[in-house]
Amino acid sequence: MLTNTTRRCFDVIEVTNEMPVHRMGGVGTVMESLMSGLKAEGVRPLWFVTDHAYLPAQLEALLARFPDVVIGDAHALDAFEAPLLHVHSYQQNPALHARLRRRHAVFTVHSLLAYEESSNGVELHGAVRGQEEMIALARCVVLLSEAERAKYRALGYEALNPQVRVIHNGVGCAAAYRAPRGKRVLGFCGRLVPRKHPEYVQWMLTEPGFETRGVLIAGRGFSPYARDLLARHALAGRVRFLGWCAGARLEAFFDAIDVLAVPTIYEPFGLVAAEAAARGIPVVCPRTDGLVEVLGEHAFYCEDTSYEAFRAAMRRWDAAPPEVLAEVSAGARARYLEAFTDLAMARRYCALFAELTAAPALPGCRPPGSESRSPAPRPPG
Amino acid sequence: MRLEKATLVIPPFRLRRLGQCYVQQQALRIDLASLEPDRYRIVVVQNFWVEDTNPDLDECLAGIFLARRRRDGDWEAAENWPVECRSIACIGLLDLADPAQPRLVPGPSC
Repeated sequence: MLTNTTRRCFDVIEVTNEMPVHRMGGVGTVMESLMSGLKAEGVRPLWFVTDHAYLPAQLEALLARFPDVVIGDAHALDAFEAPLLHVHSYQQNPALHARLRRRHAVFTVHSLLAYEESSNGVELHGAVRGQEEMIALARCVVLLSEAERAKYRALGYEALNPQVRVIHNGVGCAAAYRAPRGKRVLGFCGRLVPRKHPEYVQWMLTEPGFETRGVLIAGRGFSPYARDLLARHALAGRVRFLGWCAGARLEAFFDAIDVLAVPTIYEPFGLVAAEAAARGIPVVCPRTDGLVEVLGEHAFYCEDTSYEAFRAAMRRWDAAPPEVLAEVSAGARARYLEAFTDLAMARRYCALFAELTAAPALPGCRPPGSESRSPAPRPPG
Repeated sequence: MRLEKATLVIPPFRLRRLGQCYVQQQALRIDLASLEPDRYRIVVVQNFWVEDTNPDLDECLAGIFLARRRRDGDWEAAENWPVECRSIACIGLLDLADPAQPRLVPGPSC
């Protein structure tokens, strides 16, 4: 175990696989928002990093940068006290499951792996079963949107654990709000996985009227498909892959784009849409899951998740005059300020923590069995 | 770029391609001892595996991928491996057919 704290008692223990540096995905960003939000609420958490992918030098940097951090396996949790474990882990570990069984735990499901599996066309094998076990073991499950709750029900997970709350994510934003923007640079931000359809925004460059536009792509992953797409459409000079962006680079990306394309077919929340809304960047997306809860009516929505629908929505964005763009961006920004800041998220978690620590344990959970759940629907085609 | 016994040494570099500049800030030392005897292409790749905080969007993180000749005659490509890299340019050939006598052929000949 590595740690930089001598304390043993905390208000809550946040159990995570990633912190706000070298983040694998959105969870690292949520940790960053929880850090600032919980601090503002006067809550002192322990940040317990387990089953991580950090290199030794990165761990040292973590300990130097953030207070009250422990890096260790799940057994080390026994050395620390708190009324609640707040578990974000998406790695499966019997020792962690044992702690969930023994201690009061809130499990935030950052995405339902059964849907990740179907929407990305991959086999996650034991990971889905492991997530189901953690759902069953937690005292309360947190989902990121009402849409995610509907999927939870559709999977039959209420039989695993009926104690479910929806707590939307939040994100801090120190960047200036700037709207309306121009029409030249199309942006995509996120992992380059099938469910997010990063190819749609690149295909737009082949459409009449978009010959002089460019695309910026911020995100991890590069595949033979991405390479062949560039070659097939001779787009290499107009699509710039910025790699795995964070900090000042991610901010530069947001500053450089005029619109953010989020043509995803599964989105538990839509953190990137909230980040765009905070900055005045209009979003083009289908009415997928959490995106609607983040943006309300303040987006250029696609009729469905097809490329044709995306193209039509992009054309509506392109035709929108500055006053319409300003109105859409202002509406999205107002929603962000009202409900999706780091502080708003932390307040929602604090209310849940207070409720759970005041109440006795609730019955109703039963051991999981994947065979009892409903299958996640496959995307068309 | 040079060989030091069984180590390939690639000094810091900046490579401009496709309107962007691919940058490796530190010298890379690649141990060749564990490689199978064969010929390899030395390929500059964009590195998607490491978090980048550089606000200059014209610059990207670069790395090196050693591409082996495949049985079908093609060269291996970084994109085919789970290393999250994009092939940018071949900057040399490495001949390890005789591991005791590695040969380095820099340049765009490949």
